[in-house]
Amino acid sequence: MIVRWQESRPTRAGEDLRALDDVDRRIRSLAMSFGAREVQYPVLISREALERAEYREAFPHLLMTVCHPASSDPQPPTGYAALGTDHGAWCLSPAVCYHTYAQVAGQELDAPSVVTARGRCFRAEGETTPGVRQIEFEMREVVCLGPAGTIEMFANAAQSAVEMVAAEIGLQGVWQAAEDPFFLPAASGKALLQRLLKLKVEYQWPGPGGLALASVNRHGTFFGRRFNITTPDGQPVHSACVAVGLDRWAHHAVVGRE
Amino acid sequence: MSETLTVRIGETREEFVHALIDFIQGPLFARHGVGAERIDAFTPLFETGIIDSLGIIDLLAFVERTTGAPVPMRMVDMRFFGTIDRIAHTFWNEARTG
Repeated sequence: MIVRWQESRPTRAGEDLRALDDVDRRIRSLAMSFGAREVQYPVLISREALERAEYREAFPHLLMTVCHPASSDPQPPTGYAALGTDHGAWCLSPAVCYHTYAQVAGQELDAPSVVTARGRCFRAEGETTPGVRQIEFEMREVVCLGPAGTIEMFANAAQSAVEMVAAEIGLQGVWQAAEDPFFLPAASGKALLQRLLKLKVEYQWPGPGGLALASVNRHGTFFGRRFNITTPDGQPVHSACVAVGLDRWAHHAVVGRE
Repeated sequence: MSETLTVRIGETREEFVHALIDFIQGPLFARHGVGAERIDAFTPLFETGIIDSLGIIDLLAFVERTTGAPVPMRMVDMRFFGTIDRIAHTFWNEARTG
């Protein structure tokens, strides 16, 4: 692996690049087994979409915005002030699935929908380690929208499928209840509830620190309500997503072979 | 929630069950705007949203105050918190056995 500390993500070539693509090919195949429709989303996402998803309230410390140096604003805000609602229309995608909810916002889904995409994601991590925690990384996500029963079946099946794919390339993780890294202490209840109800489970590398290789996230009707996505009976859709960190999988697959 | 400060775990598990029911139906529901919902020892507390993301903090604080011990993160699990009966079974026994 070629590493330069100035890079937001290690430059990959040769075996490293093949390892990344191989992981993605396998996860993509997993997605297709669920009847997923593949899409390619842009790197940027509108601030409005992330605000609708309450991302800024939950994870302001991770959000990366897009600045325009030739802005007419003589003193563009920096730091958290730059996160103000009146500054800048675009953010770097912090995850793939927000695009999915934004694209079907306001729609009635007459059947469950499964979408998959591989995408670049960006999070303002305080400390970085190549292959483990990066500012820029790639994720393959599989997102399912539909009634509660469908979502539960999808989430359970996806969990087994992820474990199977991991075993194929020699990764042996463990499933653990987890919670998102909410910023505000006031959100600690959300984190506890996530853990209690196992809304978020992570497939963790069995070393110290519990590094997440993949996660299965059950959202209930949160995104259905936030983006006004409904089932034919007018109820907000349930949703779940499977997120696989391609850089981490490739890194650990390579490390495992050495 | 100062109402919880004087509550003790009780001499019996049944007393702890009643203390939990009184706390949830009383101060916790009042604080989080839940109506006159009646619960018993076997009412699911979380799946139906009776206790939400704010209520869970108060519930954990109550359990910690009454047992006098912190609730470890590994115990934040439906096996131990799904109903009042499970909470009492887990934490009253644990407090008694030290």
